Amino acid sequence: MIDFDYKKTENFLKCTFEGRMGADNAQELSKQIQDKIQEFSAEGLKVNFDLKDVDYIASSFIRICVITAKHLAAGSFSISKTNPMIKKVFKIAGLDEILNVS
Amino acid sequence: MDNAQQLADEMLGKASIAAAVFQELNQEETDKIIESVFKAGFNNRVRLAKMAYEETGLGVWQHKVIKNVIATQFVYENIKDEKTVGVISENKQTGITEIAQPLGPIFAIIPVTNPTSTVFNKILISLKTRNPIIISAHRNAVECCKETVRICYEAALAAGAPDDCIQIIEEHSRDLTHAIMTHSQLALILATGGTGLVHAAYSSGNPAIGVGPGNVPVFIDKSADIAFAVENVILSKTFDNGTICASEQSVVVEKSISKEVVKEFEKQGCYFLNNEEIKKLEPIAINMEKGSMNADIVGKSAYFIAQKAGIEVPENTRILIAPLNGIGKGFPLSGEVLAPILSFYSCNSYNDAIKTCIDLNYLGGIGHTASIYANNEKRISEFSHIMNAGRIVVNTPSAQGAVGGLYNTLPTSFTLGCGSGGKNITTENITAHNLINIQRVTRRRLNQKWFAFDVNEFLDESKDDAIIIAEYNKNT
Repeated sequence: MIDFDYKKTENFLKCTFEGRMGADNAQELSKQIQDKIQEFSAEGLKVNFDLKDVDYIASSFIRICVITAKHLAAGSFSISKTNPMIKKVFKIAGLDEILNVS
Repeated sequence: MDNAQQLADEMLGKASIAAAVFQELNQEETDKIIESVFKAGFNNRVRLAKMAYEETGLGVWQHKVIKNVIATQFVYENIKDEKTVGVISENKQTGITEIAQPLGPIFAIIPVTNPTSTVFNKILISLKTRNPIIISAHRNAVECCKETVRICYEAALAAGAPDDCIQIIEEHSRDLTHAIMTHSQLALILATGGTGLVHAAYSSGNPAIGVGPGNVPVFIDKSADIAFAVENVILSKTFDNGTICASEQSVVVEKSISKEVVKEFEKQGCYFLNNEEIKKLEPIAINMEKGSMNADIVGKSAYFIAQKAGIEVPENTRILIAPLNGIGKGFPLSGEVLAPILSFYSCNSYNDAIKTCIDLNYLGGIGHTASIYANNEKRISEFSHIMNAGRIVVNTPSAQGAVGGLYNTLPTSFTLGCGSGGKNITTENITAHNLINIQRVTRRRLNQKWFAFDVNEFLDESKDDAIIIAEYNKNT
C-alpha cells in the first residue's frame, strides 16, 4: 500500500507524495485518492498534488493525475513543486498545461 | 502546363544535366571548385554585406561581413579536407568500403535575415558534394542573393564546374517555389526560414532538411562569472541586431543573483523596461493575433524599436530587456524575436529557473539551441540533459557559438538541425557530409557463430532464449 499525506482546508485538498511513484500498487493508490476526493466532496473542490519529494513517476501515476483532474471541474486540479525532470515528463506528455504543472 | 511548372521543369532539367556531369569529377577536381568559390566569395564579403544590408534594411553591415567570412572562410576550412567523392573509408577487417555519391539537385531556400551568408554556406557544401543547387531567395533579398550566386557561379565555372551547377530563381514566386519543391527530379530541399516554409518543404514529398525557429533560453547560474556572461549575451544578441535564430531570447537567473545581473546589463548599456513600457513594446514587436514577431522590427536596433514603440531610451541602448513573470499566452515577449529584445526571468530557486528554461525551450524552440553560463560542472550537466536542444552552448555567445567554428569546434553552418523536436531528421549543424549518399560495399565475411550453429534449434518451441543463446555462443 502506498501512503500519501493529505491536508484538507475548506474546499482545498493537498496530497503530498514521496519517492518513486512506480507502477506497483498504482490501482490501490488511485482508489485511495478517489476515496479522499469523495470523502471531501464539496462544490468547487480543488485538488493539488505536491511532488516536492518525488523523483520518478511511472505512466500509472500520470494516469492517476489525469483521472483525478477529470473528476474535478476544469482548472481545479494542479501539480506543484515538481523537480525539473518530472516537469519535463509532463511537458513531453503534453499534459503540463491541462494538469497545471508548476 | 502553367508557367511556374514549365520554369521548374526547365531549371530541374538543367540541374539534372549538371548533376550527371558533376558525378564524373574526382575529389581533386571538386576541391578545386570549392576553393575557387570560397576565394571569390571571401573577396566580395564586404560588398555583398553592404548590398544585403541596403536591400533588406536589416542588421548591421559590419556584422554581415563577419557572417560572410564565417560562411566562406570558416565553412571552407571546415570541409576542404573532407572526403566527399568516391571511396571515403575502407575497412579490410569488416570488409566494408564506403563510397560517397552525390544526392542530385538541391533546392536551397534562403532567409532574409542571413541572405548572402546562407547562400555561400549552401553553395559550398553542395558543390563540395558534387550536387547542383538551385537558390530561392527571400523576396526582400533577391538582388544581393543574385549577385552572390553570380560571383560563386563564375568562380565555379572557371574552376571546371559543370554548367548550371548553381541557379537562382530570378523573381520570387510562391508557385515556382512550390513547383520546384515538389518536382520529381529534385533530390533534397535545404529550407531555412519560418515555420510555414519549413512545413511546406517537409510536405513536398521530397527529402528535406528544414530549419525553423528557435526560442533560446540562457541560464546564468550563480556560479557564473556574471560580468563575463552578460558581456557575452550582449555580444551575441546585438550581433547583426539579433537576426541569427540561435541568439538568446530570454535570460533566466535565480533571484539571489538577479540584482547583480540586472546591474551588470544596465552597466553594459541595456535598458530594463517597466510594465507600462512592456505593454507599449508588445504590439510593436509581436503580431498580437498570430503571436509571431513583427517583420518590421526584425534586425532593427534597440533604439529604433524603442522609438517606434514610443519608449524613451538612450540612443546608445544595446538591448531592450523585459522582465516577465510568465511564459506563453499573455506574455507575447516570451517568444522568439529576432531583434535586440530579451525577456528576463528572476526565479525563486535553481529548480524554478530550470523549469522556466524548459517552458521557454518548449515554446516554439524545441530542438534548436539552449545556453548556459556556469562554473559548476554538475549544473552544466543537469541543464544539458534536461534541455531539448541540438546545441547546448556553454559559457559562449549563443549566436556565434551555435554556428560553430569561432567559439567551439562544431561544424560551421547557418543551417542548424533541430532534431525531431523541430521536425528535422538530425540535430547536427548541416554540412557537406549531410549531402551525400553513402554506399556500403560489403565483402563476404562469415559470421562464424551462425555457421557453427544448427539453425533447426530456432524451430524447436520447447527451447527458450537462455538455452538457444547459450548454444549459439558455445565455445566462443
